[in-house]
Amino acid sequence: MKKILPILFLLFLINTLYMCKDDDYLHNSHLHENVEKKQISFKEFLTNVKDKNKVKKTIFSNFGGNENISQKEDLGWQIDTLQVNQIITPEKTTYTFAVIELTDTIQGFRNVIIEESLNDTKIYLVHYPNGIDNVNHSTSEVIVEELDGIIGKAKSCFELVYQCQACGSNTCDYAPGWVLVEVPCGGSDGGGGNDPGEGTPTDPIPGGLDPQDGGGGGGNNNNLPACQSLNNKLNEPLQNEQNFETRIEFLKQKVFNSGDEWGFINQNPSEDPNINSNANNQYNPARAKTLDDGRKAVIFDIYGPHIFGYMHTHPNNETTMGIHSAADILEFLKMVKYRYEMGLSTDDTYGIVVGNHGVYSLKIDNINDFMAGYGSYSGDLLREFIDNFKENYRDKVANRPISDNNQSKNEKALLQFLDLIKSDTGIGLYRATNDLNGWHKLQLTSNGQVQSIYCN
Amino acid sequence: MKNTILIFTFFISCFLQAQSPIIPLRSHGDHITNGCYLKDIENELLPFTGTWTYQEGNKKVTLKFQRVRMHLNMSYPSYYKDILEAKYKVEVNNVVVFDNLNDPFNIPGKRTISGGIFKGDKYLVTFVDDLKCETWGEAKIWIENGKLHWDMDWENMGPFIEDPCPQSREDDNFYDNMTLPWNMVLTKQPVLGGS
Repeated sequence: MKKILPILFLLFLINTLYMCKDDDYLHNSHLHENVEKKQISFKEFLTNVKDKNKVKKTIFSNFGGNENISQKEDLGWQIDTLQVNQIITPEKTTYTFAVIELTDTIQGFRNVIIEESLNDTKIYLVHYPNGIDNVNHSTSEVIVEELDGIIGKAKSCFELVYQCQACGSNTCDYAPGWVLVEVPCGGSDGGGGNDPGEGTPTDPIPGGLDPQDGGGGGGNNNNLPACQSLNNKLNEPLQNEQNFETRIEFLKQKVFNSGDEWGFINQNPSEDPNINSNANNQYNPARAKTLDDGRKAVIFDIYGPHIFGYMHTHPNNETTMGIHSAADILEFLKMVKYRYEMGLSTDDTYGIVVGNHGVYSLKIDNINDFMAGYGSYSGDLLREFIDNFKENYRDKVANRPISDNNQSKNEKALLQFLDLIKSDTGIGLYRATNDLNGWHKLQLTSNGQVQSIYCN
Repeated sequence: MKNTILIFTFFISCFLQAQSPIIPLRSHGDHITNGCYLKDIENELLPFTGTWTYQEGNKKVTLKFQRVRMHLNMSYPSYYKDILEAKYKVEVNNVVVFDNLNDPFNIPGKRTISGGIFKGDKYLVTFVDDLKCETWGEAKIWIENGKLHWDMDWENMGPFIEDPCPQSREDDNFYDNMTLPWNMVLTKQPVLGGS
């Protein structure tokens, strides 16, 4: 209990700063002058973490090996080092990792939090056995176990309770209004932490116990991370009267009133290793090449890990398909690979085509498939993959009569092709609603028909 | 003994037939099943085979096409297919810029020009430009009046396979000057007589 209180104090402090938040909340790099929250690479983590020996002894088998996935062999789980969330306050620094389960016996999902104070480093395994209910804001269980070289010491149990903070509006603003209420641990595992503590509500968990901090969201929650990421883009705040949605609306107009391709690149200059910048979520018009017939075609130039998204038009005409071309899909995969190789988040990557059928986005649904497949290919193996890729795209999508150039047949053909490469790429396809208020995940049923599932 | 050989050959043929159902080269979509063989039964690829040359100003291009039997497409369904593959040489002012004419055919990951499917009388091949950061594009080829026509298409031009290729951003004309010309009309070279 005593060991948990300091982290709870941290949570109280940060919650106070988050109350009735302003726009700062939505920017990952700087939330308040005394609290800094950002995503860092695994390399940065290794550079910054103080007690490497303790961390290594507890959860890493090998610091210097494969830095994308680290594990201690007897744990039954491993941490995902592709995305590390760091929160810095004057008193503490925390690092949060999502946990990748190696067995299917764990319900919900787990995060690992490394908490550093001036003189100590603590490591916690935080378990959300029922996930987190962001839709109905129902109470969730949280189990916190301190890892201290010897796995499985005393646990403390909490309930994560959403608090309604009106903040001057007439509707209930839940974010970030979680509180932790300590409760006795149930079950026959002893669970330690039976000290009921003070029973007073504690305050939200920005610094690591927020499951979103770890990119947690393991397989048992109902929210698809890809959908969440796409919805976040639709809900982006305006900057100079522009955002993701306004740009999509702009491109939708261009589909029908221009024979040229138009597009934007979405990037984080702060992640560009060649420049010194703190900027994030920047949009730049895509370059275009003038073809022999005078039309312009977009060039993406995905040349660095700081680029995480693109959107472009396929003009409305008889022969152009309003879905991704082979080059569009490969451009997306290359973008994901750059980020993956640099230890940057791949959750937010997207590749969007705006055409006469609507707005379609590629996302990575399964990063493990990507990592084991395309993400690991290089040299001749990569070239062979691309040879087969192009051949299959030609066969499934491109080599169809013009009479098949309609929405239902194009979607079906593209999904048939994507199913061929799914095990190597983890790729998924999403279509925005016409009013740009949400997304549908598209997939094929067992009898080969297109199924759209509204996701949030 | 002779009968034994014939019977053995018969059973082997049946075995191969059962394992690789042969379908026409132009088959596509649901007609392609796992393990089948899209065979160039009507020898549509044969007229393309051989060595062709193109000359424009100080640039000379030599293309050598070969029909590759039973190229394996490693997807699902996986299938065999006869395809065209080409090696090429480019000379500028008699200086060799690129030459892989003597490289072996049908080596995975080593194909620079390979097909393909027919669209009407045109055959689509993929071209990977090793001198331009492995930018890849698609070309239609067809034979007309004894000449081989080559027409590369920007709309199917793809990203660099691995190289970030900074020169593509520094040179506004990067894509205009691919190693192979965008459009060519090539003349077939006679086959040298031999034993």
